[in-house]
Parts: sequence; structure tokens; C-alpha cells
Amino acid sequence: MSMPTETKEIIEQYARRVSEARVSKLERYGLKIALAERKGAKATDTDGKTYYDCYCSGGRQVLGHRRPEIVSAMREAIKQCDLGNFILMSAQKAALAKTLSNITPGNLKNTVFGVSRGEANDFAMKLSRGSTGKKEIVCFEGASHGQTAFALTATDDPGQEKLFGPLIPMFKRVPADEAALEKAVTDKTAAVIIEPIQSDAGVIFKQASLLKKARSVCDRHGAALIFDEGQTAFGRAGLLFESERSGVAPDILTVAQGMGGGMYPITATIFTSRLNRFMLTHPLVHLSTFGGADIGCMVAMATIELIKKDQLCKNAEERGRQLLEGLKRIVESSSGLKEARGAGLLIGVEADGAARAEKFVSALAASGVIALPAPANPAVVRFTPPIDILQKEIDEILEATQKAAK
Amino acid sequence: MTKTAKQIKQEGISDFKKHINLTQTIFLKSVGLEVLEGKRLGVHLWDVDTQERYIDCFCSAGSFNVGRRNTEIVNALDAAIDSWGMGDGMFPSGPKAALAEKLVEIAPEGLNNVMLCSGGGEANDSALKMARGVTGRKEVISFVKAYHGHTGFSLSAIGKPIYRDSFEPLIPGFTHEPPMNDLEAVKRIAGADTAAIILELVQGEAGIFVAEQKFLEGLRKICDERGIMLIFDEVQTGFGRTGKMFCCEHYGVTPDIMTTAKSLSGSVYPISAVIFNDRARKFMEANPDMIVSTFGGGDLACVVGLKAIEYLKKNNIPQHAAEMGDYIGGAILKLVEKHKGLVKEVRRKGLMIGLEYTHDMMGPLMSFFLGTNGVMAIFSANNPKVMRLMPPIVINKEEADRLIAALDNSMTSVKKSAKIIEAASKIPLVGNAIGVQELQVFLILIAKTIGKVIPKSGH
Repeated sequence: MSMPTETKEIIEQYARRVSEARVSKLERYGLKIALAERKGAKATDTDGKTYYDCYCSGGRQVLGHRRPEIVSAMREAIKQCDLGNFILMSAQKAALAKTLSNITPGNLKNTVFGVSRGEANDFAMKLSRGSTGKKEIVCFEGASHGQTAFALTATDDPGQEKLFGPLIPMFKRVPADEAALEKAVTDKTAAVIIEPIQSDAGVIFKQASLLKKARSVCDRHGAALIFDEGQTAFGRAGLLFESERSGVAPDILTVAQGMGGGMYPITATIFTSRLNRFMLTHPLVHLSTFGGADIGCMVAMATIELIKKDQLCKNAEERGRQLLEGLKRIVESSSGLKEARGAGLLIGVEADGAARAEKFVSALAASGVIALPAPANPAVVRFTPPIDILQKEIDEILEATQKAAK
Repeated sequence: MTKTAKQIKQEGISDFKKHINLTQTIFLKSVGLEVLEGKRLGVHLWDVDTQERYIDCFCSAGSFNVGRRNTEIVNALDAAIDSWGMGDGMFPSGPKAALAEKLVEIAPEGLNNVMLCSGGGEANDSALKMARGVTGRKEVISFVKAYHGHTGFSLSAIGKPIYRDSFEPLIPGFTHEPPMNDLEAVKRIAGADTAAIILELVQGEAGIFVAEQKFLEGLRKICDERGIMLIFDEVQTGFGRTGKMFCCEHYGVTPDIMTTAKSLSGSVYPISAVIFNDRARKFMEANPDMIVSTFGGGDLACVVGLKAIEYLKKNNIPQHAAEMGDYIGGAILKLVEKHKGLVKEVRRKGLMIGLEYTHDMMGPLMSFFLGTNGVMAIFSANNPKVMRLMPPIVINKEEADRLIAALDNSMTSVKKSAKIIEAASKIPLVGNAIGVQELQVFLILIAKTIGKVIPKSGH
């Protein structure tokens, strides 16, 4: 199996076959690199330079790279199983679905697995239409839910609609405002879909009162409340799930790649028995070949166990506080940086515009930290290192960031 | 305390019922496939408790071309996890660059560019976005009974209403009117606002309908004349299944965009790819980050994909699939003669085999009897009288002979039960068992009687 190993060759081949535009963008960020070895909170490029990975796929990876426990779990899994036949029952899928039912908030009992975040959200919205018999979906300004069509329609990106539209009809977009939400949700509403924290939009929090309002209007009108926790769950924001912060439980919860422990793509849509009635009468109406692959389920079980056993949510909360306080100090003493905000290890630093953020990003790269602008808000640089990061590693990240912020 | 195999199975079934889907478990039981996969190797899977062995003729609808837990692929993955992880969709890496290059190398000439994704639906969603983006047009033509996946764009292109109905309205501008191989129907509707024509060269879920040479040539011509993007969905047909690396090689017709998934996974790691021409590349370069996949082409996925392709090429597996397809296909035609009245038609391309029975009920019944004869095969969800046989394409002659013997035995059993079928088919619900739901209700009804009434054969 031949694979290029020289930086130049990799990048040229990638630019030729995948995307030149991507390489140019990374060059602007001072990150025209090819990544090789990744271990814990660090990533090494093919020239041997080591970085702290504060990108972690926009925070979607929650554990440090190639955690020994997860690597062992994966090794064990590939000794026993493979993808599995999606049409058959599977002990691995069943065990993970049971675990998800136990650890998730509220009354979520049933799971349909997927392989991408978009797929999990597409199914969540399909399920809400199918089970309520209603059509309208209420989504938020600044939302970002994934790349497949339902998810994309709920995503606040006019460029997508312009290039690829018309997308899916009967979506209503509202600002994060209780009165607007109350007005938008009617008896025609199938679902309200919310990210409790909007990560791609630059780490924007939904107030608990808004989530409570969403819960009550959904109850009143028989709509399903969907929480998209693809970028917040499993400790990323310091909690296993955001419901612990607001006390509001959804009818449908979507979780994404964090569950795969950085080794295997697996996502899930978890929902109440009430909504499952639709799936009992339509069991084969939504299929996913790769969703909930047996290996992925075993890796996810190990990931969830590890997060609980090592109290990694608590670690994320504590290290997050350390990082956020440090970043706040840096912001205060730097020109062009306005604010640091976040929860757990989902942190955004807002700059005076995208140009300043880009300059910050390339200075960070030069100091050995990979942190990138939030895709839907390029003025905000996200810091989302692994949740198992150590105190002294955060110290080093802050030291490097201090230098870069000047 | 370590659980016994029996406990693992009981607990697995019970949790699956409670936390995944109860109806699915009833359905599987009714077709004799209350199986929990334990060991998997080559063309076989074993039930975790009974240790009964089955030849896998479903293979997650064609995802296991290299065989299950192929030693070379598993070893490559095992070695790769010493240095690679899931990776990301942002940075270049050796595995990504190498897989992209390899896909271009094996794809038809002119398909020079690659977008890596995680699943087949995502790949088709990306391809359809690309077609709209490139052309600036809105309409998409797919075919009656077409199957492209369950994410929003793909779902909009599915040609079977039962998959779409509960979730409408879907994306405007999609039509699924033309029947496969009806060029005139396409000509009538393909116009100045058509962005894409998307099709499977062998319709899989629909029940194995093979595209004709003239039809594909005609589509290419229409697309060229009217500036339409031609998309081949090679998710099921790709990577040797039909006797060539990609099915379109049989025809010498090249699409503008080709989507692949399933067997690129080497049966162990999710990955899919959109492979496209330079016209589409121009759009992609001019509109960066508009069509992306966050984890598309993760490093481990790329290592596995590379190894799977290498394995197929090194061992000349597509050619092997062609030969075994002829061998099994020939034997099936003889069985059809022997068991007259049971099979209406055999449709095939390589090792993508469809048996169309003479009655809707025979698909489920054959699934049941094949199960008792050590073969796992499931009728098409889209068309219950059609059964797909898609074993791993690495199947050898001895295994093929066992498969043929199992088909022979099962056909004998089904014929014995003909009287019951005839009686049952007079019940209106059963006679019209064409929808997934109705069929399941029916299966639940017959499941209770069938095992008792009809003796097992072949043992």
C-alpha cells in the first residue's frame, strides 16, 4: 500500500485530487501542513512540527487523539466484528442503544444510528414529520446542523440556499427570542430544532429560559423538541448533555462523532417511546448501511465508559475554566481581540472581524497551536482541545496563545 | 461474570426490541432470521448462540465485496490504528491524498477529482448539490423504483413513494417518472432546467433491473446536448460487484459524477466518495467549503479504502466476480427449469443477482427456507417478490455449490407449501402485500403457522 510521506507530495496530490481551494485557505491560516501522528492533545505534521490540537474537528472530537483505552477497545472490536448487516439485529447496537437510553436526559428510549451528524439530524426531522403528521420545522438564526438536505435547510446559510436551493419546504427561521418562538410555533409545527450552544456560529448560548419556552410551546402544540448536541455532548461543554444545564429535556436528541472516541464515525438519534410508535409501523422507512456499525458501537461504549470512569466532564469543566480565564486575560491585554466566552472546553475568542481572526490563527499556528475560525462566524476563533487535557497542557496552550495574541 | 452465548443472544434481542425496533425483530423472526451475528469470516456469518453458519447473500446490500473480516483488510486496519485515528475533513494527510489518487486511477477516464464522505446518502446528497451548483439549474430526474439513500437530497430522488410519503414535502424539482431503460420518457422531460439525471446502473433495492447499453448511451447524449450532469450511483454496483471494478465500464459510458460507498469500506470502516469531472471541479474550486464533509475521508477510513481497492485489484476479484456470476447464474437458470412455476425471471449483472418469483409471498418464504438451509438472503424491501443474492464476490466454487444446493432445497420446500400460499393469497391483505407495513402484518400472521406446518428439507 503506497502512501506519500513527504509534505510537498501529500499537499500537491491533495490539491490536485481533492481541493486546491482548501490548501490555499490553510496557507492563509499559516497551516499549509499535512498531519501525521496524533497523540493525546497533540498533532504532528509531516515535517515533524508538533501542535496542540485546539481544533479537534471543530470540537466534534472530544477525547484526546488515540487514547490507549479507545485504541484497545477498537483493537478488540476488530478481532470480533465488522460493520455488521444493517438489516439484522445486533448485540452491539442493542447494548449501545440501551446505554444511550440510560444516560440521556428525560424519556429517550429508542435509537436510530447514523454515520454523520447531518444524517442524524435529517432523521430527527423526518421522524418529527412522520410521527406528528405535521410539516413545519422551526429552526434558529445562526443554526448549523450538518450538510445533508434537512440539516442543511435548518442551517442558517443563505449561500447554500442560493447555490443549491430550493431546499426542503416548510422551514421557519426565528431569532433566539422567546416571543418570536412562541409566535412561530403553531399547531402545524412538527418540530423545533435547537443547538443548546451554537458552536459554528461562534459559541453562542441559548438561554435556559428560551429552552424552557421551546419545551412548553412544543408541548402545547404537539410538536417534537429536537436538541442537536452534535457539537456539545459527551463532555465537550463540561456536561454529558446540555439538559443538565437547562433542566430541559428534548423529545429527540442527536449526538455525533464525539461518541466515536476519535477512532470511528458513529452518530445517533435518540427519541421517546411516543415517537417510536411511528417507527414500529414504519420499521424500514429509514436505513443506514454504515450507521451504528458493530465496531463503532463497541468503540462508542468504551468512549462513554471512559468519560464516566475518568470523570472527563468534570475535567472539561475545570480545564475549561482555566482556559477561559486565561484567554480572557489575554483578550484584555491584546489589541483586536474582543471577548472570550464558552462553557467547558467549547470556547470562542471573538476578534474585531475576520481579518484579525485570521491573523490570530496564523500567529497561533506559528506558536504551535491549531485553532481555527468558526465556519459560520469567521471573526471567532474556536478553542476546543480534548476534554481529557491536563492542567499543564492548558498552561502551555495559554503561553503560546499569549505570544500569538500580540 | 462472563455471559453465556445464550445469554448474549437473549439479552441482545431483548435490548434490540426495547431500544431499537420491535417490529424489525418480529419481521426477522418471521423470515427465519432471528440471528445475532457472532463470528464473521469470508462469505459466512455465524449466529452468536446456535453457531449456525450462513452464507451471507445480503452483505448490507453489497458492502462486503472483499468478504467479511477479510484477513488482509483487518490486519491493515489493526496496523493502522498504531498511527492513525478518525482524522478530520480539514487537513491533508498521506492516507487521504493516496486514496484520492487511487480512486482517480481506477475510475473511468475524466473523473479526476474526489470528495470523500462518510456514507452513501451523504455522497449522493453531495453529488446532487454539485449538479445544481455546476449547472445553476434546479430539476433532477431519477427513475421509477430508484434508490439512492435516506438523507434529504437522496431521499428526494428515491423512486418509491413509501420511503418519501411520511416526510413530504421534500426538495422541489425532483421527478421520478421515467421507468428504467425508457429513453423516450427521459427525452420528453429533460430540458433547459434539468440539473442532473441520477441513476443506478443496476437498480438494487428495486429488484435488480439492469440498464441497457442503448439507454445509457442515449442518456449520455441527452446530457451532453442539454448540458445536464449525468450521475451514476455506483454505491451498490461499485468495486467489482458486477464483474468490473465499476459497472459503467461494461458500457463504456462515463458519467460526470460518480458516487461510491458500501464496499469501499472493506466491510470494516465507513467511507464513501464522490468522484467527478473537471467541469464539476471548477465549481468546487470557485465555491470552496460549500460542499463539505466534516469527517469525510478520515485517515483510518482512507487506509482501509486503499487496502480494499488494492486487494480487489491484486487478486483480480472483479474478473472472479464475473466468472462466479456466470457459474451461479447458470446454475440458477437450471433450477428455474427444475422448479417450474416458481421463478418468473432471473436478472443479473455479475454477482448482483435478482430472482423474481411468481408471487409476492415467495420472497419471504424463500428467505425463510434459505435461512433453514444456511443462507441469509432477504427479499427487496421495495419489491417483496424479488430476492437479491449478493454474496461476497470472493466466493469460491465450493461455497457457490453450497449456495446452489440451498436454493434447490428451498425451492423444493416452497413448492410443497404452494397450497398454503394459494389459500393465504386469497386473504385480501395478503394478496396485496406490496407495502412494507402490510407485508409485515402478513408475515407476523404466517410466521406462527409456517414453521409448524412445513417440514424442513435438506437436512
